[in-house]
Amino acid sequence: MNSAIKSFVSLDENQTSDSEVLIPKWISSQQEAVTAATSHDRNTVWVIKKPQLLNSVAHKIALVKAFKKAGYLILLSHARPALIPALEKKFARVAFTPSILSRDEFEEVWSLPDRKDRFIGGIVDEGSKTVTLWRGNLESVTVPFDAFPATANGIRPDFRKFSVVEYGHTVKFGAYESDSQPILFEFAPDFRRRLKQARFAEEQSLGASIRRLRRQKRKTRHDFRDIDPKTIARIEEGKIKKPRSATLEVIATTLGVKQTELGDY
Amino acid sequence: MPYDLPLPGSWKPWKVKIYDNELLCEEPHVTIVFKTTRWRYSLRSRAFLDSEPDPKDVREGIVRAIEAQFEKLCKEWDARFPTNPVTEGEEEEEV
Repeated sequence: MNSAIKSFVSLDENQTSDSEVLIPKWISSQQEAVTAATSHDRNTVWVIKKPQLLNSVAHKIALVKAFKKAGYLILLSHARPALIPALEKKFARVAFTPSILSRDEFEEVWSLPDRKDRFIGGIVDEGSKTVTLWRGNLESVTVPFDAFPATANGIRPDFRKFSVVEYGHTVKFGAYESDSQPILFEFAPDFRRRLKQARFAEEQSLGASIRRLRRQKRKTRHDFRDIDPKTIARIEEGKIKKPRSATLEVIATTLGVKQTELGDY
Repeated sequence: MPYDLPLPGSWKPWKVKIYDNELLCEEPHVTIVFKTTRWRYSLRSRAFLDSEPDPKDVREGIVRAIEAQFEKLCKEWDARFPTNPVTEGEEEEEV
């Protein structure tokens, strides 16, 4: 049996360790907004439901030049661009996410060591046809609608009905449910590296990587224009060790990545 | 809509699911869900894909329930993801 995925921690001055338990605190009054603005506690996740309270936070930060970093800030609403610079000076990470986990699940997820591999909330933008999802370390992942393809039996996402459920392991669009892992595999290089090391240690070749990416993209070996399926098979099986650049370019284009990224999967 | 394997009501909140969007670079599998924890059970090798979380922590009877409906689960997987079918080796035969 393969070993499980291990967490890798890369810390900068703004981040908390994955092993640290973060405490969510809900800001519902002016006084609590001032407390958040002047706090130095790195282990707090400040959550604001009412956008007007964000004014008090930003005003206080500017007033007292309170720029020593203090935890994370989540606004359960859309972003107001004018406030973002001040907030980003004060808080290690700032998220604007109208939709989050249920209150119980949201409270619990901050104590989980694998929280960065879960999504705590997100926002759908119909204009750009993208979904921005916030991980449990408040890093964002922006993915195109195309990352949620219909199943072969016709189940399609309804992007107007977005939610995150199951403690951040599941992204829902109406009746359509996506596991978090395919999203992280495609759009979060740190997750991909850990998965590759834990699950595919014996298959690190370029061909194996192309095969995994092809499968993830739901392509068959017949889907590569002007390349014989047998050639794709020989590349994947390592029988062709150094494919021609033109061949790799077609493969990369078909799979929606840069040629230099083909070995990353 | 994901496929949810019917389980006895008293087993709630345990679930066994096939999602509409899955990690297809892995073997076909079902996901066993219990609150914050998940396990993946391969439909090819009929074994757990990961050693952590510990498969021993899965509720007694879940694996039996999966095995009892194994054909149905394979059909549900294949209907969603025919490019990575449960039956191994099909792809190689195309070539």
